[in-house]
Amino acid sequence: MDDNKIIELLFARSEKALTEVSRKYGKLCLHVATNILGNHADAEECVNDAYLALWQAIPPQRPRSLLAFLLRIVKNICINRYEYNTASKRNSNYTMCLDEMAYFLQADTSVEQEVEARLITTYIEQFLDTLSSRDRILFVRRYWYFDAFDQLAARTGMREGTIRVRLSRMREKLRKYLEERGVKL
Amino acid sequence: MSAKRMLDAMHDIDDAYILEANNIKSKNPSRLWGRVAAIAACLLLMCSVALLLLRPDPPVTDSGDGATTGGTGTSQVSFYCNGTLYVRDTSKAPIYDLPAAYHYQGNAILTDGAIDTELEASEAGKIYICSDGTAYFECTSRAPVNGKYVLLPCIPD
Repeated sequence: MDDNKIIELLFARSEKALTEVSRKYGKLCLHVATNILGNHADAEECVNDAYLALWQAIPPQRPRSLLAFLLRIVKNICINRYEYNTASKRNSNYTMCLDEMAYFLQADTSVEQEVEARLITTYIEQFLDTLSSRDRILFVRRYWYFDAFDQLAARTGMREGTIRVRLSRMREKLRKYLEERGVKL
Repeated sequence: MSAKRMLDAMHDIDDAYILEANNIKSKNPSRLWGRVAAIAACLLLMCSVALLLLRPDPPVTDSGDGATTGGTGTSQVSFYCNGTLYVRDTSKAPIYDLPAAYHYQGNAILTDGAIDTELEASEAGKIYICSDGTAYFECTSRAPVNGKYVLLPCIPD
């Protein structure tokens, strides 16, 4: 079913909307949730919570992209759950992504000057525009979808080693890109 | 800046990037026989395309009523993109890796040999335009070779 029709069903308060959302995007939502939380049971619970949150958000909101809107809800719920569970869980892709990012940032040291979060996002978008389509997809799949390296390899047909090297280079490029724009890392 | 703040900033990127990354097709690990079959199918397809392109046009026939019908000729890729008609550049061989500088134009649907670009259409192919004006039609409806779809060079007509 088309996303616009699903949104119309949500506006009409038809529960069929959630059935269709689950059928169309359930697998992807569970994939992202599992990437963050590292365990299937928590992931399923968070995805169900996300459907409820979607039901409550639409209406009044009418997102431009239903999928992106839903995935953001899923991620927010999962990250909150992750932070709640935290400490003991160091086996999820989200944890590893945090570690990778921390490597080239002054991770746990406090910074005197903080840049507006939206400005950083804008810079990241501009940085992504400088990448080839393949590299951009790789970067987003790793640091937005939190895909594991073997999952990325299966999707792109590239070797895991190649992916690791590419991502490492991209992180370095991002670091330089942000520093050139005055972002203190 | 903390790693978490970086990932939080990453979380808010535009929907377009998220959707683009979701549209990538999964490539399941294939067994040897599957790869061999895919390569054989692609070679067969490419040989067929080559034969079609190299085949001479049949002679023009007179139907007797004053009208003439020409040969069917060689069917070739053609499409409109941003108001420009592109046709297959038969002087260039198909490739499997895009050049460094190109811009993704969108998905395309095949309609009686003419392709219109539409972002939300089902994927029969994709169009990429390079900085030198060359376009590439990525044949996603054909079996990939070593995980890559064939790219047919096209030029403005």
